[in-house]
Amino acid sequence: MERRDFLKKSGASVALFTILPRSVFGKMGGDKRYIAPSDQLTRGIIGTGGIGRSTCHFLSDQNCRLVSLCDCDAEHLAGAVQQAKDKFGETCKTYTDWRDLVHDPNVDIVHIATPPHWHGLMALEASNAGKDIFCEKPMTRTIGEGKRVMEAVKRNGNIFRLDTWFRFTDTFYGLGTTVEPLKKLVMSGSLGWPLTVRISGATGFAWKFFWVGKTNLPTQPVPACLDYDMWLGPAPKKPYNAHRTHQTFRGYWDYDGGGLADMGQHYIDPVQYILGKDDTFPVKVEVDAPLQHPDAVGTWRSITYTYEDGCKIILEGEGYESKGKVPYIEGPLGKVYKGFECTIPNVMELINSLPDPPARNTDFLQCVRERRNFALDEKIGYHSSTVVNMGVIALRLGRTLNFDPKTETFIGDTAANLLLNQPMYNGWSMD
Amino acid sequence: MKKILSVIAFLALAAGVLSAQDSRQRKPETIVQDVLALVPSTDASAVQAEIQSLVGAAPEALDILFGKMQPYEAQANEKTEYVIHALTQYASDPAHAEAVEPVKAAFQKAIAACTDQYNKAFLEQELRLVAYADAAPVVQPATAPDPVRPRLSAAEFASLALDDQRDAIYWIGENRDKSQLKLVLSNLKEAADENLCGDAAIAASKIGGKKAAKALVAALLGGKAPAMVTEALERFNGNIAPAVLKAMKKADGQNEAKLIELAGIRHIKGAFAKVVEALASPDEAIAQAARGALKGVVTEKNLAKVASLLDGASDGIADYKAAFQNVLNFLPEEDRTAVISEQIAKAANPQNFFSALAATGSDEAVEALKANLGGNHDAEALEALAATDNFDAAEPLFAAASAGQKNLLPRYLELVEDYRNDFDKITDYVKALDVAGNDNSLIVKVLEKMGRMKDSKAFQKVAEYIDRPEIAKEVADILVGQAPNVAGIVEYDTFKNIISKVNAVNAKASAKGDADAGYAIDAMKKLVDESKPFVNALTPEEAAQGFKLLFNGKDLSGWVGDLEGYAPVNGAITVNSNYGGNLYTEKEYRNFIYRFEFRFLEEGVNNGVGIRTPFDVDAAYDAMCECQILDHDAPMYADLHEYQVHGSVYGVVPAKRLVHRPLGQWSQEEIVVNGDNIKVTVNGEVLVDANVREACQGHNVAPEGKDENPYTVDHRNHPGMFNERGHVSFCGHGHGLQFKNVRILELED
Repeated sequence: MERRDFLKKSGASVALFTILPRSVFGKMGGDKRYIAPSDQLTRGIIGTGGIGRSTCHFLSDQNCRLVSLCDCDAEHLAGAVQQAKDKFGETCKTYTDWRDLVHDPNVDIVHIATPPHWHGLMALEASNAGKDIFCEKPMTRTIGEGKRVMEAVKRNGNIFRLDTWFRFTDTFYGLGTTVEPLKKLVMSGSLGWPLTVRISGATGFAWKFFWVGKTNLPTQPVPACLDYDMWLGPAPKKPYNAHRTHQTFRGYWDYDGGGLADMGQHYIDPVQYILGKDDTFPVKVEVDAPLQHPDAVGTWRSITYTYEDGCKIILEGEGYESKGKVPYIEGPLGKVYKGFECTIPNVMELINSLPDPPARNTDFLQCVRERRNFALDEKIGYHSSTVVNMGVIALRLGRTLNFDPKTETFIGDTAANLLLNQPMYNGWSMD
Repeated sequence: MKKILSVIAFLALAAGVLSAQDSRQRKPETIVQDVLALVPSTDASAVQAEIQSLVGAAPEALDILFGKMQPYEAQANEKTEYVIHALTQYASDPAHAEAVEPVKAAFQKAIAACTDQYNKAFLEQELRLVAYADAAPVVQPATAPDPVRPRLSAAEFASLALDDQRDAIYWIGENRDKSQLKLVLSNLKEAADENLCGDAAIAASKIGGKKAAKALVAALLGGKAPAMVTEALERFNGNIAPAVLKAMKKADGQNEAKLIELAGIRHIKGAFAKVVEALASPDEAIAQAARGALKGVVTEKNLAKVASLLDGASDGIADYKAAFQNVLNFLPEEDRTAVISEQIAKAANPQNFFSALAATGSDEAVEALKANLGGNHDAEALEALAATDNFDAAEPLFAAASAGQKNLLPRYLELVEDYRNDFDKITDYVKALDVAGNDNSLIVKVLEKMGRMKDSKAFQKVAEYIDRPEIAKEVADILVGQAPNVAGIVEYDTFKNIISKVNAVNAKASAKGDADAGYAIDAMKKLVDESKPFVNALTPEEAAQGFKLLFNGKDLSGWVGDLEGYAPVNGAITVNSNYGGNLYTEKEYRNFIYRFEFRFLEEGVNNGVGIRTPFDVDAAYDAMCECQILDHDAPMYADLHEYQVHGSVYGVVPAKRLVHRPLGQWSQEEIVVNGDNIKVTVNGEVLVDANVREACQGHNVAPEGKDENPYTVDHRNHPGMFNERGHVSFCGHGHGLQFKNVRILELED
């Protein structure tokens, strides 16, 4: 009896919801432009946990209305529904199966805010459904998934935004400025070439080693509000323990890869931009780390990437930072330290005299409306995500790896290449 | 560090000893025990050295190692897992090719013997990396037991009752079970029951794929449950274009119309030529479907064709306009006006393009439309201007309304509401009241707009009309709606007087049986009671400490600056729509505790407290600092820098992000300034406690005197930061807030 009721209800929810009249949301203070409902974009969020519901991601305004929410945790979903009501006065349509949100004809932009093991599948489905995509970092959990997303977005002509922003806005951690003045300085050749970048606590970047996994986890009952099978999706089936899921999922290779995988794209993507490496990859990655556990992510001491031209990115783990005063970026002709302290005299005067780097499209909604690529699109996102994933693979295998940027494969290491693509389980597939 | 060194030294020693033992033929069991004792290890290479011994003692040592795996539930595999992973690392390393065969064999043997599904999955994942692509027995989802996806044979399905059959089909769809698509499609095609057939259509749309698309299109053209089949195709999970285009080639009559409609809804661009052809169909149903679908199938490539269709359109011109608009939507916004103008230049019926011009909202478009006023297409141009979202259209609309076309006045009012600031709005609305003349319905429209303003003058202007008997009730309703928004920013006596008139009107309505009017009277009485003038007074403790009250509640004696924009109303300093400048204490201060209460009356309020500021400068830079007052929760501030949130020492020290109390509620703030230190506390929560000199490492201005200062968070120079003393100010950037109980205690140096 209950099931029939459910059936009827779900039949009713199929009806398309009506667009609210202008008077309900058109008024936002005196001088704001009014935007007709037909010109408004709409957005649905998949994943309403920590990131999906945080202030800078949970947004709705008259340019882009939040209309749909999806989560496989009923409590997260209910919280998000309430938040949308309180914050924006929006009554969002809700889904527990993300594919329904992706195919909701009222959603223009699919915002993926789930743990990373889902990103590839969701972005691919959204791309094939003709949606534009706002994907949280890290882009994908494996290099192969990123490649499939990149190809699909190109094939289907979607507008894709990978959501990390330090290459075009906001103070870049230890630098104390945006990356733009540094980009100008580097491109002018004033620091010389090749360059070494040090991403370390010593230069103002934290690797968040509290995101490590636990071993010998006891099996716990799955909370009633959580559809754990859906949460796992393509990840291997493992008995439930709360530490594997919300927030702390970052400590397990099945879903993410600790601070390296989770913060890596924030830190490394701007470096690819500064060094002008957006269309290539390092040729070598070396790791110095304790023995890794096969399931629980551990810590590491250093990870060093080397590009073909000799440029390097050195990541220093927490507790293993270089001592003393070390530069964030260093070339044969000069060094820039934390807080933009520079060995070049009158460096700000110099930077002000240098030409600005080419302008970029940094307004995602405008890009969607005008069908232009966003400043951090699927291609650039794939490249920086791949750099991070190269480090993850080297860390999991515990050895130095050589990479061929042309074929995008590791040289002479079959196991590393097997980790480019990892199996999806439980019937999920991107092929 | 010392500890780590000693551990490493011990390990090196131990490794040496062990390999010495090995050369003396250490037993496999001992090797396994030794390596298990090493993990977890910070020294991966020491473990690798032991793995070499382990592999050297294959197969026995490896069998013993794998034999250590306990059932998953025992939570005892951590060490074994570490060692097995180290083994995987070792054997998958191209430098150890000789290890592949023995390790692979051991893994396979262990997997065959393993009865625990989670351990088995783990071993198979690890083996995948060792065994290389040729022999990787990855977990096959198809062979894994699948508890949630039972399969129904045709016979089993047939034996179910109809309700259960419907549940089963619904369930298959919900689970996207491709393997049961056949069953779903046979029901779509052959089910006797219309509902079951409809359920099958929805299920097929969820499963997706070519076969499902083809079957649904076939069902659309000649099957049951047409509404559900149509819906299934409209929300189909995947690409239906090939199936629709193929069916289109042969379809005619009603079916052709259906497919054309579907092509429009699903934006099947490949159907453009077909749709254009169908526009000329003698069958009106087909032609009508084609007109409706056109807007869905166009792209920028069809610009010329769609423009010529629009130019020659008579029937269904709205559809052609929509199609042309969709073509434009593919072009960059800034190019659209030029593209439309180009089409207008060669059009026989330029007026057909006016609505597209209007939709751009560009200044050039408005100019072009204005140029057509008074000409052959005056009416169309005026209509288009009324649809334009650009304030430049307001003036011609107002002129036309003044000249007699009063129906345009409401649109004029909308533009004023959307684009003007509150100060100009009142002026414009008052002008609109003149045009409305004695037309009561227009007067009410203007008053409704004024009634939405949180402004004392607007409230009082609306109240003037309550004496007109014909509209007294409408005016009373507007005032009832506006009163809570202006309570506290209208002088108490004036407010009370207006509300008593409102209550008199509602009393009459209530007597006639209008229950809402009765409730409104109660609510208004309560509101008047709550709107008594605010009291400004020191607490006894503050009086004893020597605090001075800076605002007496009645006038702004002791203050200088913008005495128009900051007015004492009802016992609070109120920033009104006449704002424009800053309000300063007459006196100068150096070190002090400054306390005040504030409340936001509108979303998005922006103000600040200038510290040690000279007169008439930008306190954010030329004072010691400006402590931000900002309704940072408003959606318009979504892209705020963290150094701009409430309490922040603007551009220098970001504040902890406070959650503001709801609009209309008072908050308490305290700012303590002492030397270079500043501490900001709101409602007991410390938002900033900082030393500004340290925050910028002493570089309040860039070392080279440049505009870009890398030492401050906002990269600007703050030349006033080290001012010895100065006034305290409120720095206005907009209206909608009040201050009361402003008090100060001077501190000694």
